[in-house]
Amino acid sequence: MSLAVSPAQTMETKRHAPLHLPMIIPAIIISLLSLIPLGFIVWIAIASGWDTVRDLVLRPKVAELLFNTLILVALTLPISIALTVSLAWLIERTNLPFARLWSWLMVAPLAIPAFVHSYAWASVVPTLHGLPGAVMVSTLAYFPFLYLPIAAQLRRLDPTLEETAASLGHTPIAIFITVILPQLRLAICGGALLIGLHLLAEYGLFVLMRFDTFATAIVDQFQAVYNGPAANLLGGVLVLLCLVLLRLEVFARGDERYARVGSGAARHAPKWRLGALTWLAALLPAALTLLAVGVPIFTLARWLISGGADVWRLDGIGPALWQTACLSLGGALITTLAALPIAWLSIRAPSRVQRLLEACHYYVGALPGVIVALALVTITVRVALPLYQTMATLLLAYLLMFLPRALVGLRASIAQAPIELERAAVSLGKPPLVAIWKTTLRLAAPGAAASAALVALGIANELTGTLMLAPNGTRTLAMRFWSYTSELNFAAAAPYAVLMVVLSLPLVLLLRLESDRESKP
Amino acid sequence: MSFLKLDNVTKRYGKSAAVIGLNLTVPAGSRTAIVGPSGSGKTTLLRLIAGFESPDQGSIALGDTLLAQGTMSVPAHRRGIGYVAQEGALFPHLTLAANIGFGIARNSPDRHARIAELMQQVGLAPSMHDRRPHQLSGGQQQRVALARAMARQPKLMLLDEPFSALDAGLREAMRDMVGDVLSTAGITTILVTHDQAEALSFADHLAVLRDGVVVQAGPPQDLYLRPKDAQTARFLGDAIILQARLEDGFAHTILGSVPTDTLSSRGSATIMLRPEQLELTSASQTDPSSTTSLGRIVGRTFRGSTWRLLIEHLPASSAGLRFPSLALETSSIFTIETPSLAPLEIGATVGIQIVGTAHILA
Repeated sequence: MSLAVSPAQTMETKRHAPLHLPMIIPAIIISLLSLIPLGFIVWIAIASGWDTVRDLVLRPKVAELLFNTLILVALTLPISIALTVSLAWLIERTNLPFARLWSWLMVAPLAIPAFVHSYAWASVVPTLHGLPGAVMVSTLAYFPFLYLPIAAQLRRLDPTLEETAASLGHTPIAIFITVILPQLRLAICGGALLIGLHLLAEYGLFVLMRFDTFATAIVDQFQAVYNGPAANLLGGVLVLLCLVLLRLEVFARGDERYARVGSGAARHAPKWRLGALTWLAALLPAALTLLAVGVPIFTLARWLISGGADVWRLDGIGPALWQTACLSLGGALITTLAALPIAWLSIRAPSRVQRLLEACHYYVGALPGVIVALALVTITVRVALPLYQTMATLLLAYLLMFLPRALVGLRASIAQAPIELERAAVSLGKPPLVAIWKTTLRLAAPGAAASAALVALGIANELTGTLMLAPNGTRTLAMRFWSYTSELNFAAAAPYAVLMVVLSLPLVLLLRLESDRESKP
Repeated sequence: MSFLKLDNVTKRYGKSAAVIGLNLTVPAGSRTAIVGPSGSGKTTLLRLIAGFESPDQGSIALGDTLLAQGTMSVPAHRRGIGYVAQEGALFPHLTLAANIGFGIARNSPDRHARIAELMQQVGLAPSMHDRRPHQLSGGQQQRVALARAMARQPKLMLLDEPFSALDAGLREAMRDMVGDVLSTAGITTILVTHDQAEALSFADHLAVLRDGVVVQAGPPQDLYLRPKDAQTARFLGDAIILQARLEDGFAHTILGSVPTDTLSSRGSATIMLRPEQLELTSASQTDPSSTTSLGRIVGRTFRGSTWRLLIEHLPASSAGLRFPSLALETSSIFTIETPSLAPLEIGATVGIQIVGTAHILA
């Protein structure tokens, strides 16, 4: 039987190959594109030669940046973790009053771009700066990234485990430490990684807090000397830091499985009664809401009132809105389209090649916008000058930065469309691509639209990459906001901040609904 | 000798009551099964005993210790009652040995020896020491859960449908193993299940729960043969429920006359027969003048060792003529299992003979 190839087998291969090929080729092209920034850094390191690397990297300034960045991460992450675990436990597992309201408010800070948080604090407490300011403002701006997965995981925990531990004589506090915390490990690692990467990549927040990190130093270098080797090599160190962070997360996550063993119907865990501590406990979310939502809103309102009608200059706001809308929608469209092949492959034909392609996107998605921008600037200047500072380059940068974001949503929605429909369409005489288009993509459209929206909102608030790559004359909301803030014209910047916040509200809604859906047992 | 005693216990969730004024005593050293359909309150009852919930009213006492009275309740971690959940509820982040040792103090000098001993008791190979829960089969997970619950040497062990997730064959073997291990250790055991066959075979004391109250409790054989009402009778197994006229210790039914298990009553009543009390004879051998009633086979299902026959009662029998008011309660069709050696064809007429005594339902 090993010699004869049965007709059924040949039919099988014929049926599969044409379905996959039109998807694999674009997926490979996109993956190669997304390797550009990483390749650029490697090439810079090699091309500069050891002497240049030593001169530019092994110097006190870099040591200081390294120390700053590391201490920032080492302080912000533990504080954020302790804060969000207590908050999530209070909101999800106790009878804290207004729990539902708090759980929405804990996500709300995401609607405010990090540099707007920073702007708010800089104008309310002008003395706040340096490391304390950086740690505090970044905790306030980014803690929802931890809160969302931890709260979702807490809702999903099987209360039987806690009951079993109680029947084995463990006190409630011992149960929290030995049973609940270990099961939050994955959520904590994932959220902490996301915050860590943001800390490495953020530019605006730290400039306003007068705190030097690699990202701020690279942008400063870049603005002083375009395409200088100093900026590029600092970029190399930053990439190394990102990779270290990614490895650390893999290490901390371990290879354990935390899913429920078994499949029984999960009950909802009973809520702890806070009793006399109720109002004391409610102080925590209330204080955090005040600091992370109240202060920015208060500041914006104050500047808007003091600025009066004069700050709403339509000749500035109108074009900025229009340009932001065009860039966001255009960027979202091409990013979603680019994510399609790899998303489809990962659901319909998972394989080693597909996992490799996906890893390319994953690592590039983790790289800061500055790196992507540096790479594209250098490459356009050296290889394709006509593309330097064009919309095409800017859109490509957005594509590279936000591809992972598009992938996540797209993959989930494609997974919900049954493959049988594609097969049925093929058997009814539709060519493969038409079959995919008419069945799976049609059904995945709402999910794809949601993930495109996530990308668009990300682009609308993107500052670093846009500053470095945008063609002359481009003035997005974020850029306008940034230039007024840099001139310390806080009143004139306020309308742009308000518009960015309004634009980000749907993002918060989407993220929150996503986490609600994930935590359904 | 009662060991666990629940007195007039009520537990409400919002407006609906899961358990209402429930009384239950569990004898020391017994294997008690609490059986009931889903929604009968049996899981709530178990959670009340374990201390995961506290009752709204009533009291729960274990030996001389009061566990709960009214809304005052000893928390679960101070009760010392063992608990095995439906699917084991192993801690996914701990190894097999760490799971078993979870209830043993970390600095206890004989910790390792205890774990090894427990693993041996429940039949887990020492080589599995460092396995993770997801690497274990369903049966192995239940063994770990049992060993873990036994580690603290509880006087009372609660089993919450621990076999329901296992395959049919494994289920029986596990049930025997668990019963043996717990009996040897001298631990009083309460098993909660919706599976009457499991309850009957596991328990030496059975409590049937319905709508939040204990309908009947006692030895399994008693409950099977002498259920209090038709619903309990049907819940514990196939039952044939007949209208009868009682006279001089006999119940006269359309299927013939049978001695009753009590002599006191007279007049009309409802009686219950278990299908195994009906014997089928080939109709040709039956003397047409005898009092044996006749039935016709209208359907059959092959079940391996038996045939499950669907038999329609033929009303032209003499018993039917003598008592025209009597009829089978539901319809004139009932099912009987017969050994598959001598198959009866569909359409065949058979004689029906009753053996044993009829049980009069309340």
